Amino acid sequence: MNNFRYFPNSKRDIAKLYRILGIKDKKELFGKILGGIPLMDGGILKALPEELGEEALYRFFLDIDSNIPAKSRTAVFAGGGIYNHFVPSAIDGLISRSEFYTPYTPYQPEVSQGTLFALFEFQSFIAEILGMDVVNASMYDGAESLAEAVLAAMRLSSANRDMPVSHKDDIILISGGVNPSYVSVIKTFAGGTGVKIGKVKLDGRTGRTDIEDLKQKLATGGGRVPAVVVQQPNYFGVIEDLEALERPVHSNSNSGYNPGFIVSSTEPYSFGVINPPGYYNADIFAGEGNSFGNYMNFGGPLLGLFAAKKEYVRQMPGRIVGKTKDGKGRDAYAFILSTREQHIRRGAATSNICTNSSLNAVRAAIYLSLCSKSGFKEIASLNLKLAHILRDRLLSSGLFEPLYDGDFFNEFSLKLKINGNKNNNTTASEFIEKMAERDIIAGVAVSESALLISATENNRLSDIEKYAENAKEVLNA
Amino acid sequence: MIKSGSFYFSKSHEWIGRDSNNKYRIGISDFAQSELGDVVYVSLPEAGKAYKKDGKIGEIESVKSVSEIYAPVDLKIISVNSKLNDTPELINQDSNGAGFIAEVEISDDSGIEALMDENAYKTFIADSHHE
Amino acid sequence: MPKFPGIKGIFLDEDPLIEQGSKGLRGIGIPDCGLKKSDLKKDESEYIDAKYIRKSPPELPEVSEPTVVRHFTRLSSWNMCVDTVFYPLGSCTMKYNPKINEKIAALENIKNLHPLTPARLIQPALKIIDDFNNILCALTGLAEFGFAPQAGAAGEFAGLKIIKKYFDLKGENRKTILVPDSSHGTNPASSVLAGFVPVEIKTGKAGTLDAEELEKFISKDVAGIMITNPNTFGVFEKDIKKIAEIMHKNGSFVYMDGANFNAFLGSARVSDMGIDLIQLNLHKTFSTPHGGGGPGSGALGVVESLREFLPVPYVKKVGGGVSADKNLKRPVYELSEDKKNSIGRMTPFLCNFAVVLRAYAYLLSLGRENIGSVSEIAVLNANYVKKKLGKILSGSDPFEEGLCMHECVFSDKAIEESGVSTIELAKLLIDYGFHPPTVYFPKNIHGAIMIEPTETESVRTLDNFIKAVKEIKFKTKKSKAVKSPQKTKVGRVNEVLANKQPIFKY
Repeated sequence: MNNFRYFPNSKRDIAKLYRILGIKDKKELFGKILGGIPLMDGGILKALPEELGEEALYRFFLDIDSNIPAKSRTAVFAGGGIYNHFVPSAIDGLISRSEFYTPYTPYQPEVSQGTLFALFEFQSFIAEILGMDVVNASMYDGAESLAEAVLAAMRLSSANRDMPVSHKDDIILISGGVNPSYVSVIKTFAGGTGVKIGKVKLDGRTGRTDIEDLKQKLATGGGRVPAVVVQQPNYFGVIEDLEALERPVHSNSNSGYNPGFIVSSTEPYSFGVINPPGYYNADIFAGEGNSFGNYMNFGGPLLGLFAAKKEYVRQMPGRIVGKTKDGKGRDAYAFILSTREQHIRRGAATSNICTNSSLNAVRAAIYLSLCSKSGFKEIASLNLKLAHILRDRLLSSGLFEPLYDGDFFNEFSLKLKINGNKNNNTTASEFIEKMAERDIIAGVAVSESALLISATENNRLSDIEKYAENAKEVLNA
Repeated sequence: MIKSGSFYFSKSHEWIGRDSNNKYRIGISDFAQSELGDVVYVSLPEAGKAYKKDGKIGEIESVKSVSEIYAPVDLKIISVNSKLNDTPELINQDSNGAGFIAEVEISDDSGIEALMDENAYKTFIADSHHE
Repeated sequence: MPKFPGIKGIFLDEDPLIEQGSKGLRGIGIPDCGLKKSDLKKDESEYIDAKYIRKSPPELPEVSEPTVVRHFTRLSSWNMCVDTVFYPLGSCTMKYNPKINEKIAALENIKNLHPLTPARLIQPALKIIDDFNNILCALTGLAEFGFAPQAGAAGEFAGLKIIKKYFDLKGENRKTILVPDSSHGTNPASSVLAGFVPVEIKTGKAGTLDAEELEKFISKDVAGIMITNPNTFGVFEKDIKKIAEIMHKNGSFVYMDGANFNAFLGSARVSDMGIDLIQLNLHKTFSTPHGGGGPGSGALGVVESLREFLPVPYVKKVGGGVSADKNLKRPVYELSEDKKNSIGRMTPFLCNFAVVLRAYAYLLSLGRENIGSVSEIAVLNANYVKKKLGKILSGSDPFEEGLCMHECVFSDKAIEESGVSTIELAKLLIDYGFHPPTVYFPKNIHGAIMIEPTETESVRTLDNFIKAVKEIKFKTKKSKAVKSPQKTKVGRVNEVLANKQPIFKY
């Protein structure tokens, strides 16, 4: 019998190992170690599939790949937290280097300068895009990052900055414009502390967070407010007036403490066109960075971005790369402020995170380098224009009406118009299903009758035309 | 009343002493700083705040470890050594002098008398090191 | 072949990209998307209120594609990785990452699939999750896996949240999670995050937990225990069944940190040890690449009674199987949220799909024929290193008598006698062409050196590594040790400076 191809020990080598250890076979080896725990036998293993040769394995997945919507003919207009951006080939080429994708976390800086330097550049680029002081080396995804931001704000609001067991008297105010999945993840993470979650209304016309409602809840919201959370652009695609939101947040002295102003985003590409959160005195930014050089991958892995003002760095979760020198005075990079983390502070750490989204962050660093200063702005601008052209085109068809009229970047929400009996009261989900059969992923349903639609540089004018024409057929059928 | 210029130590390696101006100061021992290695950050207590003996008043960090600073006796913080914010290495260089943590107020000396004097502390370190 | 792989080479220096820019350069082609020139020229203020518009774009480098490619290629050459060196990092399972898995994850339609595409159109993708779940259930003996946790620590958090919710629903306010002092730091950190108070239990000489010692900690306040098995010394918890019995008798749960599951893969089931919950680090045991720190996946498995607590959404199989009803014969896969007691959502979409995909491909490659050899060879390799190095580092093995599982641990006793510290050994090994083992962990071994060879290393490589340690032990001068490593891009990094005056960005 030959070895399986991933095992570099031959049968003879294995026999030699047994001989040296003075053990007869696997049964004896595991018997000695496990005592009464049984070895898995053929009966149990039978539940597992038989081995597949490499060629058969590839064909197996190729078959799966050809039975899902094909990239070559599908026009994707769905966003809702992840966006269909173009990924230049140079990223795949570089990331397929083993030196990037097969090492562990760079705990030994001398043999990890490549990853550390790339992550340092990632932090630099993201800080520049967000206008924030300090960016960490990544979180899992935007939602988890935002949940950790809320926890960090709760710690910052506590007298001794430790996490008190109970936050029963506290309330986190979250804008109704924050992605509902993100709100769910915040609840999962912060649930154990007893903190309450309050929702701030959206203005019914513009779709922006209602400032008056925010002011009122800050004043009488039923507790001390460690943080106010908004999303830019918000879940419905609407650009929030961060300047107007920041003022009441930071001048609230309810119980003598100003809440942290946390800004999230699922589409930081918008900051190529609109002002970033750092310009509006955001205390923490926590959102999604998948748009920068990463594929959608059916929703994961993603790239959590976390940034904060410098004074809050010791409450940040996750790893941070810093620049320093080696013994000979040469530039060198290493993880810094590690005492915040679980491997040192254990139960008192700022987070339990260990493995993060390092490789996705390196992809983002490569992507943003390729885009360069002018390309980043131009692609962002292209997104803005395509989305506006698409919205105008759909509204002019008479089949849709706006859900909100606030300014937007590359995503917006429309309602299906109740048009006599013409559209048969098709729901948003049904509309999306029917459009999908026509190779158009038309959007994400946000209610019975409304959907979120986005456009990126991966959509052409002809795709927009295709969307409008098919929508007409689907809704008039 | 305890002598000025002499130091009294807790089992968690903090000292308290009285300087020539009759002011009380606290800090961490030379032994503690040598065990920690290069100090890179000190989280100082809050001026004006009162702490019970053995209450956590701050933290000292080296690159790969964190140590908590405890109040050696019941005390109130008068002022902190803010030089440690920018030059935490003062703790390594002169833990009993320029690297002190804070100036404090105490109600009476009885708490101090229960601590170890320099000789007793030396023996204490020697014993615990052999364990 | 040279005696050791670390000889000499050329390192190419590289400036930060921001310093290599030249005004107007870029490395990306921008399509016109069919837009009219007049539209392309329009100012953004014709679309949105000028008060929102960013006046100066972010200062990204201005560089061409070849510059970017050379920059990052040079950077990559400063890394050690599994494909270039023996990487015996204990508790990290740095096994070979099969290339076919990367090719599969790069399939055009899979990687471009939007997670909110209607379920009807993506049945084969959803089926992958269900099939993989079945495989993991067979390998562990547990009832169901949830794939939402993005990494090991997230799996721990999810598991502990489940335990918390279970007691909340029962109206019991249990606050304590027992954690052995030799555990990974994520264990107590996850406990706190889930709303528990971790209580450390002192472990014995080999990091094992003694059932009698455990009894002392048992009370109605104990919700569960987090136990790493094999423990962080690479030693099997011999009392595991007894421990589980004690916990179960108290109405408490046994959570196993599955970071070291490679020791059992295809050979033993955790259900036979009385485990109620376990997270499997797919980026360790199941060969998906570590990516220089991530991404990973921490699939969480639970026993039958906890299935309804798993995170949502999940892939639900409807119909199929042996049914008389013809319509039900072909199963349909749905993205469902109908878990009655779910702890809720952990991630915006379903899971780290591209990681699960690679892990699934890995298991299909091995099949039932080879899966059991993974743990067998991993254990043999580790015991070989333990035995051979144990002779060189005499008196340093805290568990000299018995067998280890997938990794072995030494103290610094023997090398200290030669005047070499653990950190110096680590850095010296680099110059020999090896990645250092995990060092100074677990904390209860003085100057710990933790070696996990995995099943994808040959005896020949192990011999070479052992020879290097021997040379270090017997031939190294202190003057050389303090200066090592010397063959790397940079020398010993000044971490004190890095932490005292932190520089976070350009």
